[in-house]
Amino acid sequence: MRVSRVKGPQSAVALVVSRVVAPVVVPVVVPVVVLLLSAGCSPADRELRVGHAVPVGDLGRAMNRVSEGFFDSSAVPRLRIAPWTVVRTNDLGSETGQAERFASDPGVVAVVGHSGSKNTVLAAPIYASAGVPVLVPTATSRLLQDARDDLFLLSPPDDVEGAFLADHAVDSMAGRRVAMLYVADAFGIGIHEGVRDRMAARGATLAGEAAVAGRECTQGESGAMRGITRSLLARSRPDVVIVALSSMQTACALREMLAIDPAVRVLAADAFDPTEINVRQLSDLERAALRYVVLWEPSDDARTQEYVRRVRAETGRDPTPAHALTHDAFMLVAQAIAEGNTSRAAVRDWLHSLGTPAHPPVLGVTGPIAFTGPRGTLLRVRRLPSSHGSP
Amino acid sequence: MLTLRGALLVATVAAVGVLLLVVSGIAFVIAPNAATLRARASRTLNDFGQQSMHARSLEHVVGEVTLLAAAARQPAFDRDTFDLYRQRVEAVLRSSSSIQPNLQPETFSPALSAALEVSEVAAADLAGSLLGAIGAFQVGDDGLARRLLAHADSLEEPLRARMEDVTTVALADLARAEERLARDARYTLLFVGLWLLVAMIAVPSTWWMLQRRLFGPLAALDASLTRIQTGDLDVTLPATRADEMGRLAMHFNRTTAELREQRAALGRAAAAAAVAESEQRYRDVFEHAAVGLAELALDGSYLRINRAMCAILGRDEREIVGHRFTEFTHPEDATIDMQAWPRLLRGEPIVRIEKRYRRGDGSTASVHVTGALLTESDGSPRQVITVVQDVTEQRRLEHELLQSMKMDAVGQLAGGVAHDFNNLLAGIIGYAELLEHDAGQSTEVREDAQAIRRTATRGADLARSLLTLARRNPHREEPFALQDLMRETVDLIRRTFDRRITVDTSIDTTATLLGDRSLLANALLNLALNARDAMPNGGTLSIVSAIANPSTTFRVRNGIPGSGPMVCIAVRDSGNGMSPEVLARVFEPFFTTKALGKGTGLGLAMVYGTIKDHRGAIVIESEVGRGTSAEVYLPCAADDLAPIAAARAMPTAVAGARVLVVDDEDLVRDVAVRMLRRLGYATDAVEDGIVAIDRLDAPDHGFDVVLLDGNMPRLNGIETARRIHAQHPALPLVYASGFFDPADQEDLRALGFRERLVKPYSMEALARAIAHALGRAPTPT
Repeated sequence: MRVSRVKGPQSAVALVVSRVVAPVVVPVVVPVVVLLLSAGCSPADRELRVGHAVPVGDLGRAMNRVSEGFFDSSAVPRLRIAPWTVVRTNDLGSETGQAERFASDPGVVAVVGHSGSKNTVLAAPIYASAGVPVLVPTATSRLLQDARDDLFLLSPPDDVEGAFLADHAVDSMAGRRVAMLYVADAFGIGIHEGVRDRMAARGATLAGEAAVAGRECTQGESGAMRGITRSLLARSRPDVVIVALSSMQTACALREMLAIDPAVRVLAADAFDPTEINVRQLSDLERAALRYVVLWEPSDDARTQEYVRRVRAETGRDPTPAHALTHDAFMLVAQAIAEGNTSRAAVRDWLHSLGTPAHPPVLGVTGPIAFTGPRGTLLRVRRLPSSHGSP
Repeated sequence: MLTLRGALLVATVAAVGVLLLVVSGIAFVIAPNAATLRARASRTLNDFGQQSMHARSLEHVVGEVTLLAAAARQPAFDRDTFDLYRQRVEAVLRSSSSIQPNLQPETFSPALSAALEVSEVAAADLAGSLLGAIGAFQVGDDGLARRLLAHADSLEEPLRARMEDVTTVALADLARAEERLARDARYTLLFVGLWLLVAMIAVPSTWWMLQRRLFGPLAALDASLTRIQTGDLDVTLPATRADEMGRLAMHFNRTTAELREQRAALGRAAAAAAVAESEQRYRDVFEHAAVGLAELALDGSYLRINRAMCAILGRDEREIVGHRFTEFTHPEDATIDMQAWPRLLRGEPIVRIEKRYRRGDGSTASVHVTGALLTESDGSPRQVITVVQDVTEQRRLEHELLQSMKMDAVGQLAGGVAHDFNNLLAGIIGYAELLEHDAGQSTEVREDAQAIRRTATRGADLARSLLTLARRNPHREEPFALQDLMRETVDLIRRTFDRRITVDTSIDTTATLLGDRSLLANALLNLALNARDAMPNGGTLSIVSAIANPSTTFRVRNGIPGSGPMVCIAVRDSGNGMSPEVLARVFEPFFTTKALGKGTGLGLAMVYGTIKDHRGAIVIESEVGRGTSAEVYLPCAADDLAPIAAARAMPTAVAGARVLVVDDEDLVRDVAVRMLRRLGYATDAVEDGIVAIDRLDAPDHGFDVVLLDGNMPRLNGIETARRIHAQHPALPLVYASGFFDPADQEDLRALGFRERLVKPYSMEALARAIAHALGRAPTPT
């Protein structure tokens, strides 16, 4: 919920101040003052910040500490992660409010976030007007690709993932009849379109598809999902169903589909995060039938292993793809600053230069990073281990 | 450069312009904001309209599916019919997800946001249930389908309610926003109106006030300062106000008043300074005038005199001022004063007289006095101013010129007499010398001849003395010791003077003099003789010599050339002394105070001439009853002068030389021939220049030197020499004359004369002259 209040009738003085002084004076005076203040400090003396436009709890803060641990503490200027400061009240305005805070902070040279494509799309114009480059770790909506020149996506867009899912369902899972079950939002629609377009490109079509609202399995009631999945299976008789649902919706749909057809196999998009559900409640049959896409898995290189080690040491758990992608986003900003790019425009130009003859891709824990094209090579398909621990 | 008025005008325009700009900005901000708000509100409404449309679509689907469900009981019902509704619901879902919400937080109220979320959830719940029901119907699970359908149906009413809530809240938000905007606009208009009203009143008022309180006074100040710049200080500013301009005017008036006073004071001071300067200039001119200036009262007493006047009278100012001018007039000129003063007092324009003053030291100053009467403005006499010019020196010079003219006349006479006398003496001396040097004569004869020669020589000295009267004597220039001269003279004096006369001498110098010793000895002796004559009953005669260094003034006054050291020979007596009248004429030829036959009056004249010939001076001071002092100043000989030459022996003849003697006097010619032959020269003689020329024109005349007399009839010595020299430039000539003009010396050398002889000349002198003319060092015998 937003914080802003409905204001009552204003006094004339306040009106004059707010309508006359503020629009005219503040946009002029404040930047001048800020400029003067900042001019008194040489760039070399400043502390620069990278905004983290995702409200995080203890785990998120611990992850940020790990990432800051990789920053060069002797570098000048020093880099620090600026956390989310707006009090989240489940209000759409909190995303834009936080975006405005980051945009108005002259020390913030880049922002990592937001969470979800919708929130990122909400905040993008604010960053664009302030010239702040935004590194988007996990949002994948195709809308983001069309949004701004200063959005840098570290994850593959939905349509790329959709194509990957289609290829995997057909090629790896030997799916002859592939159906799709997706949530009717930007994410699900994007995955669906990607799958559909890829299938079409392969000269095939989806055997069936069904869109859901996303609340079919709430509060333990799965009747709606049952009806939807039964209908889908009856119509399409798939051997592979690609699902683009939330983790809980995926588990719910998986259960319902296997109850109908135990032979069906399910391939879930990256929205499925096994850590978000009680995996122990899945049967071996369900575990065996499910495959899911991950955006990242730790590689054996020293950099990645060191990162994993520090995360384990700090949090007691392994980092998720979102954590790894966020960490790489922070490290990109750190490296940009280390190479002398201490302004927003310079960081933005540096990010654009990655993967060009001017600058090779940066090797992060998620692999080589460049923004000359979608990072499709990140995608992996994994399976849940059985209840006995075997894959 | 902007004037103050211009600057204020610009500032005012700028302020108004800024105001208008702000107002315009506000207007251009508010208006677009309003338009934007309306557009966004419209979009929001449109979005929400679509949302409600989607909700209504879902409701319709629910209704239709419900109807369809009733029909599905029929065994022949095609359950694939439900698939259409499934697609419709899925389309609604996809359409809902593509709505881009208006994301301006300022237009969202929390209630609207909350209502939006709740309505979305309600719609999703309904859609999910509906899809589940449709799916169940499709697979024949009617029980599940009806249950889900009933659940969906139960969700319609809440969904409608949620949608209505959203609409209501959105409309309320929009209404509030519009109201707020309208109020902003009203306030802005009011603000602008007030500003304009204030500006319409304040600007002219301010301008009027500025004009009256600032620009007007400043213009007046500017005009006043301009007048001051031109020198007009009579300006004042009105200082009626108690504000800054009033105080400025007050200070200005005070300052100009002070300036006026200062200028007046400066003017007075300048005038006084000018007067003082004028007086000082007058005093400077008065004091430093080269002539004497005196201001006299009407009774003739001196009121004011200058330094020149003091110098003329030879007294201090104190001794003169207050005394009448007649006290200083020479008694013999008293009548001049008596005649001139009344004329002055009568107002005769300029009165000029010549008179004499008695100086403080008793001397007399001859002056020209020019006087004029000064009158008051009413014409009454005020005082007399005189200009006194000292003409004493001028008179002295006139006196000397007169004396010089007399001396010149005497010289002419003496020259003629001396010339003939010298010729006679030349013969006498020559013959005597021949006898004296004739070894064949007896000793007595030779001694007699010697006596004759000496006596004749004295006669020659006397003739030279006569010539010195006119400064025509070519005196000899030979060094001699002053001591010797004085000793000889003093010895002679002591032997011949009355023993009642005490002779004191002091010779305080070993100076060497250059000149004619005999003439100087005669001059010294003359002074001693005059001193003796002034002491008929005895007295003291002192002859003192010492080195002297007279001042430049003395030298100039007495006509002494050069600036070298001099000797002073002072001859003082304690005799009768001379009166100033006598003293003024002592050097006048033929002037004497002695009885007739006792003196010729030429003694001191000859002394004066001798001293002058020797580039010296003589100053005589005398006072009746107190004696006379005669100081003779003579220049010392130069240091590099050769020591006094010892007597030289008779030079012999230059072997083989032949001499031609040219003289019209038989006696002189014969003596010269005999002397030359005695010396060993071959000699020939002619009686005049023309014959000599003829003789020399012969190609083998054989003469080596010619002895020419200067004064000859038909052709004098100078002309003869000119012609001979023209024909025989290498033939040396010797000039012999008793009358020698120093100026001729220049001509003689140019005419070929190598030597000169003064008649009468001795054989020794003749031998030296001939040998020198022949350019050979004579060999002494």
